[in-house]
Amino acid sequence: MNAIEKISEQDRDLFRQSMRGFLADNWPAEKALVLSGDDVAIRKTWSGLCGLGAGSLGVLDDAVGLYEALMLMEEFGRAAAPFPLIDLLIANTVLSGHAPVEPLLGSLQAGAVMPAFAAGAYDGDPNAGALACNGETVSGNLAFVELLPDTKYLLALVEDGPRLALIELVQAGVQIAATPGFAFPAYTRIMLDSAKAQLISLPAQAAQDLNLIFRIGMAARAMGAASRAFELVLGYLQVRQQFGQPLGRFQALQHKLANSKIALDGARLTLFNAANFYDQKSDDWRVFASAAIAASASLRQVALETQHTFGAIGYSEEHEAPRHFRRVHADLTRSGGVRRAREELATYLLGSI
Amino acid sequence: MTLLPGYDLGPEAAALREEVRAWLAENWKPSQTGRATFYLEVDRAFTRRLGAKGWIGIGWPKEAGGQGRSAAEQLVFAEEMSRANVPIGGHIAVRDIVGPTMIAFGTEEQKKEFLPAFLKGERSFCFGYSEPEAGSDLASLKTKAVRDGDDWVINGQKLWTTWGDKADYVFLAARTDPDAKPKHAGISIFLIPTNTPGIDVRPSMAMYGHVFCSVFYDNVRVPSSAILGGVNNGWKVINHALASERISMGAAVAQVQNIFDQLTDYIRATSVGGKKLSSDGTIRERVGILAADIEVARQLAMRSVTLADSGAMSLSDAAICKVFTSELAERLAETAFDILGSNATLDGDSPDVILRGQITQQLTHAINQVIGGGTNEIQRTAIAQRGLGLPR
Repeated sequence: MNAIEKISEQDRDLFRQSMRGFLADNWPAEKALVLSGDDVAIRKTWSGLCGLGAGSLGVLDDAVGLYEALMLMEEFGRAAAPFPLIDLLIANTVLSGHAPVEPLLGSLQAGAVMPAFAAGAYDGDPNAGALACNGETVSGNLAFVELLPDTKYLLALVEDGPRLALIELVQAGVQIAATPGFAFPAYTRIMLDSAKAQLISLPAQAAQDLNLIFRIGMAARAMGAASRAFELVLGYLQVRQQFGQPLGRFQALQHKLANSKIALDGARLTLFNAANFYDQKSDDWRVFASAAIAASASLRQVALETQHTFGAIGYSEEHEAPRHFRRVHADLTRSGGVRRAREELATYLLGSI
Repeated sequence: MTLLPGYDLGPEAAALREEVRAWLAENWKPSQTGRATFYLEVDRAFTRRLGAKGWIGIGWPKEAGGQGRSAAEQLVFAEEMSRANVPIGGHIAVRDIVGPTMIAFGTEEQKKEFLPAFLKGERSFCFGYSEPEAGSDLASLKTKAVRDGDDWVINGQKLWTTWGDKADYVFLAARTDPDAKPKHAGISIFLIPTNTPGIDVRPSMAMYGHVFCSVFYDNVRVPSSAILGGVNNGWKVINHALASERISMGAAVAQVQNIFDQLTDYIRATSVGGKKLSSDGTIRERVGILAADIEVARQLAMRSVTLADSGAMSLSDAAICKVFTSELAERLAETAFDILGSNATLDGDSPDVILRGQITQQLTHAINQVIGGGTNEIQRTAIAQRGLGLPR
């Protein structure tokens, strides 16, 4: 059934408001840095979100789909929350209906254990690594993987097939190293040496599609982070006085904010348009997703203008703005980022090289 | 030709799209050589054919003689007209602005006199707004109208009047109360035949290769019945007229997309020195950037259409659409210059010109789109103050 026919705008608003309210109570953005190191808070918040409906996003024939997932990713961006929603959406998409993994899927959907996704050779970043299969084991290195303390399973694409490898992370043959940088919590590099895996065959296009879903999820999270920072600076401009008047009265700043508003509206509209096409099962969702990711490049300017407008107050690590700035730039660089999306559009319009 | 996918605007809009395409195939035969038609040109014969089809009143209410089409249908209509590159200068002013404004503010006598003629494509309009000292600050206009018995006598000067040399009538803003506070409370709108004694039209060439006019009003005498919307109520009429332009945003996006489609078509078909343009990484990157921007512009236009249909479109939403699309039009043309080289800068009838001069036309007209209808600086201020609530 067509998901759009089943979900009204009012229902979507209610879903968003319930998630935003839950996050405000359990994961306020101003405490995100501390909470990201608190295993109890992570476990409690994620299982709570799953109980509110996040856990079943993407399940076959369920009414809710990518649109709702992007809404929630936007909320995670706003709250600087690192939860593995897109990873779980991918798990739901691939694992639903596979009897041997049904118990595990139930635990994932309940939030009892967490999944992580890695696109490997499909990632688009040449340094993201790749896995090779040998029977029922996999070997290779994977980089830029987001793991939380309760992340027990890795879902990794394998070029041979293509297939999805379901890998338990606590086993011999798996080594994990943190790679700190803009992303918080830090990315990890995962080294696998003949690690046991369940391998699930995928249709030919599925690996690319799963990676595209992941990428558009990153763009939605970046959009949420940029939106939250924009709203913070908008409030600041109303109250901060310089030269005897509120900063927001200066035309130079008004026009920066107007440009940011245009960029945010454009990014949001294109992202949710792509999700609508996906949920309606239209093949055109792919080109719209590429367009949305490419259009998200403007979010970098929003993040920069936010910092410029805040000035030194927002330059302090005690302020909320820096974590949103890093989130935007980290997420828009993932999996080949904006440049890859532009090339996909060029391929669609001009053909392959 | 591979195009960005279209949107599903509903069965009525899809049916209208097919109808418009079929009609255009029969009724619009552009020349295939030389300078391409520019959409703001005046072609009265084509305008009358559109009128006979009922499409000048496509968005007007049925009780006013229009077709009462939805915003989505009007968008589809505007898109197809843009893709076919038809000349709409003979009727766009009455279709999108003067007609809807007259329906809202006109007297019964005015409606009876003007609306049937508009619908047939038999009466065209230009706009007398800007003056030497009143551009963005339109409320400061000084052209004055003084009552003399049952008439008004008008004196002043208007600038940059598109179609001033061709239109049958001018939609003129004049000051009828010099002491009004605020200033905009003393303005009225007059509907005046351009052949009225005392009107002197002096065309000059604008950057985009077409004329606009300085128009002098020297003791121009008009009857009271020429006022639209009542004495000193002109500001309200003007704002309504600007709001009526909403579907034009969709047309502006379609114009940009039309040029982009031709550009990508050319890139696909062209090799230089044995190397396909389409294999050049820099060109592919810039095409990707433009494609994403066009998708943003389409989405902003779609939002405007949706909001217009529900009567909820704000000035800020309209401004966002206008700013983005007009500046995209500039970027598109400049990117095309970079990709195509100097042949794209040649006039439309030059021997070696690419795409029949449409890129130079696009760039120079895009400036008009940025500075016209309220400059983009004015629009950004509206977004900040009215949309974001920043202080005035």
